[in-house]
Amino acid sequence: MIAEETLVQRLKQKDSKAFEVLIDTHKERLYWHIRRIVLNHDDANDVLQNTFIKVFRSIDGFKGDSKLFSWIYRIGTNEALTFIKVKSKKLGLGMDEVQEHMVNNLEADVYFEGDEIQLKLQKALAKLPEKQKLVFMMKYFEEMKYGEISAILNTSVGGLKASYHLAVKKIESYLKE
Amino acid sequence: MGKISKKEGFKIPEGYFEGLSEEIMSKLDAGSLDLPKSDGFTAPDGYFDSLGKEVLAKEQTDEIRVIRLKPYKKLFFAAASVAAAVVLIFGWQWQSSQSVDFGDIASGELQAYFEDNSTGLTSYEIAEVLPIEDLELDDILESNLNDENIVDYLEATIEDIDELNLNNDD
Repeated sequence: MIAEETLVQRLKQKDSKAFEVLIDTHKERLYWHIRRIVLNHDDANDVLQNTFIKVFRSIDGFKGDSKLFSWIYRIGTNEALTFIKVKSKKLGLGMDEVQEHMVNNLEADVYFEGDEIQLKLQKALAKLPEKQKLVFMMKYFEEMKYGEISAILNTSVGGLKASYHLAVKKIESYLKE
Repeated sequence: MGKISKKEGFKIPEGYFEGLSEEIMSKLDAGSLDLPKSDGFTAPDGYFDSLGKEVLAKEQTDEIRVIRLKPYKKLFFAAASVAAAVVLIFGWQWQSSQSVDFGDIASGELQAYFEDNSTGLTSYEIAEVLPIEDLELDDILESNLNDENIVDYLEATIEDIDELNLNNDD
């Protein structure tokens, strides 16, 4: 296990072994985080690879004000959200419509084995505002602490708690419909 | 009343109060949702095993532009990049074809053009690759704006032009 400071130093020297360590450390958690935003495996794979490449090429911009983990997650989150925005433009759909389109595709996705309630949950998540959706996913599925989410999304813990509470209420009411 | 015991006979499970606040907090967090913790997504077998090598190979061959994180420049670059893109794209078309004049194109058509011909790049990404430092306002506008035009425009669009405190020296 390499200490974070040493790893960052080696990454700044463009050490490819250090890059491999970085990928191995974060690949699974980051993949599932991105996957929950873009839903489809192939898209998640593209976004994940681009995220790691951006991290490696812009590591000089990492000042150490936050943890490396938070910084990587922030880049991954931005990449995934940008990906959806570009996709909505390409398809000529609004953001709400593209989210609905992505969820509808899940039913035919070989890498989605969700049952009825899991699919309904995805439909409920697609209707949430971006921030509420992210907070719910990170808290409920990824079991992150509010402090960690706060560092990634650059939002106060109070604001995150409010977003999470609203998300839960909306999901609850959608599932009861 | 003095002969009745103050004890009510109620009992509580051992250690009840110790975990109570935690239990309430977790209920508050999740509301009354009864959801599965798994979301149903799966990944192909062995996907994570080969991922590291795949990313390294892509990093060495791919020409992905790195976006520097300078949010304070974002708005400036976005606005300038749209203007620069208009100049570059329509300037080229204008020179190559005399039949269509820039003035013939309605702003709605311009908007539709950009919506239908998405480059796949965000304005931030376009801003990163377009050299905007050498651009002047005159490169974008067909004719120079004089003071009279500006005052006419302000009169037509601003509710109370006096609030702008304009004087002849400005």
